[in-house]
Amino acid sequence: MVKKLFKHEILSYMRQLLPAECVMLGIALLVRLVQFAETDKSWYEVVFTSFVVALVVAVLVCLINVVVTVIKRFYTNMFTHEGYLTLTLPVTPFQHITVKALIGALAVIETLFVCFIGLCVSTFGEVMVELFRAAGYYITSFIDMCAKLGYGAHIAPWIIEAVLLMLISLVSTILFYYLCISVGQLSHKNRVAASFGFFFLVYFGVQILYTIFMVILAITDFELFDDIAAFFEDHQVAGIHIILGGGAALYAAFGALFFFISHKIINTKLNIE
Amino acid sequence: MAEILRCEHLTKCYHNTTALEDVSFTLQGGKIIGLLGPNGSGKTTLIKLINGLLTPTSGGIFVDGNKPGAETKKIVAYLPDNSFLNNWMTAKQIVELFDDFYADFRPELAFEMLKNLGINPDQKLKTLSKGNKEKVCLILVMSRNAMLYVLDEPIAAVDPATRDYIISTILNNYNKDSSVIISTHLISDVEQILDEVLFLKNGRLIMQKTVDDIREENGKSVDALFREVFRW
Repeated sequence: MVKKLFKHEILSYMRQLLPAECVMLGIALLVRLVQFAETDKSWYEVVFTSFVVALVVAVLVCLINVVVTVIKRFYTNMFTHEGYLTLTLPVTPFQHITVKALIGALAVIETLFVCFIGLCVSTFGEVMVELFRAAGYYITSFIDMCAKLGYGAHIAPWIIEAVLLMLISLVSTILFYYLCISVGQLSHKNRVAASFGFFFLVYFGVQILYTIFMVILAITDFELFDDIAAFFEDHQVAGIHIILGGGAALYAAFGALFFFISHKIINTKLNIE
Repeated sequence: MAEILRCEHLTKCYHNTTALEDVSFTLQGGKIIGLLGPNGSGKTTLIKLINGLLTPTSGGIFVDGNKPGAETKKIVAYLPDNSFLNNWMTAKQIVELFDDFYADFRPELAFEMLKNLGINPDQKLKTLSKGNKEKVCLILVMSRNAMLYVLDEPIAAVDPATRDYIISTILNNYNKDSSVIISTHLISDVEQILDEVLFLKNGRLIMQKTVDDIREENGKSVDALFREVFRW
């Protein structure tokens, strides 16, 4: 059943994402093609700049589109008239949320990849080679620097931790959106507004609490921040592992919490009207 | 026939309104049951509870002995009172979706019924008329070989010819060992096919009787009894 959910979710995402992505790739191709007609004449500058601006706008549209689709796929599919079908399929809420969160994360990665392809297409040729060369230079410089400092053995674990951190934070962020939408459904009316309200409440609430927490820490222990800085200076390898691994663990914990509450709401408080 | 649906002291409140209050009944399999009551009597709420689209405030509801969930959704075919289809899909795509998720779905029957109606399977649902869209919804539901069919107002807001089509589609395609719950207030149109009726009034179950008992004990048709019970 989960396989079928994946299949239909992917099809729905493709329907939403592919048109914008195809347009973006088309504009990227035009940006590249127009460069073949490069001249000193003023019209070229206008045309080229227009296409580049269009490409930037198209990339932004793709990025906004994927975020909107991630939110829309959960909200409309579960809580509007589509919910009559979605929620009467022989599938558990656990499976629904899991599949939607994973496909949502995949969709974001796919969009970023397509945007990268767009960049490659628009710069195809010498410029692209230069860009890859520059990227390769910075990567090898970083590896050399780590090797010189004796951190060579830690590069692979750092990369794995960094990738994990990105993936987990992405899924966790999507689950946070799902949580906001689910909590909004508990409202008697204006459920969309309630979802946005909850989002801003949590988002700014956490910032405020974090600031208060740091101020209290700073007041109660004047040397705490100096001690932390000294620890990271003395234990650079462990420090990066703590930041990357700890960050991933923290996001995973929050993601699990968001998942648990959303699941609880859909499982026990569902009210499709 | 075994019990297919049981409600125990079922209550559902929306904020300050009580939609269903202390409703208890049992339905056996192999029957066509009319869920009857005026607008606002709690019919749709009860149906949504059966399908797990709402959660009870108190009390319990059991389909084939299980609380509404993934297991009960395998055996319940539900027709909501509004279109639940994704308009961007074609009829063929929605048939394939049903075929993917419901083991009891009969795609060949669905395609045959679509053909009989002259609906091109490759036609997008948004291009269909409201009436045809409702027929597609019914075809999807009745193409399942379910144990319990729950049809919410299937004949409301349609012309008499469509009403006849809907009733004949239900009768010709439902699994004879299963039960059908039909919610409606157009009783005269469905009376001849009902075995049993449930009368809901202001969220309370006020009567559960077989149609034969109503005729024998009350000496009235179900329609006449309904008019008497719900007279303003």
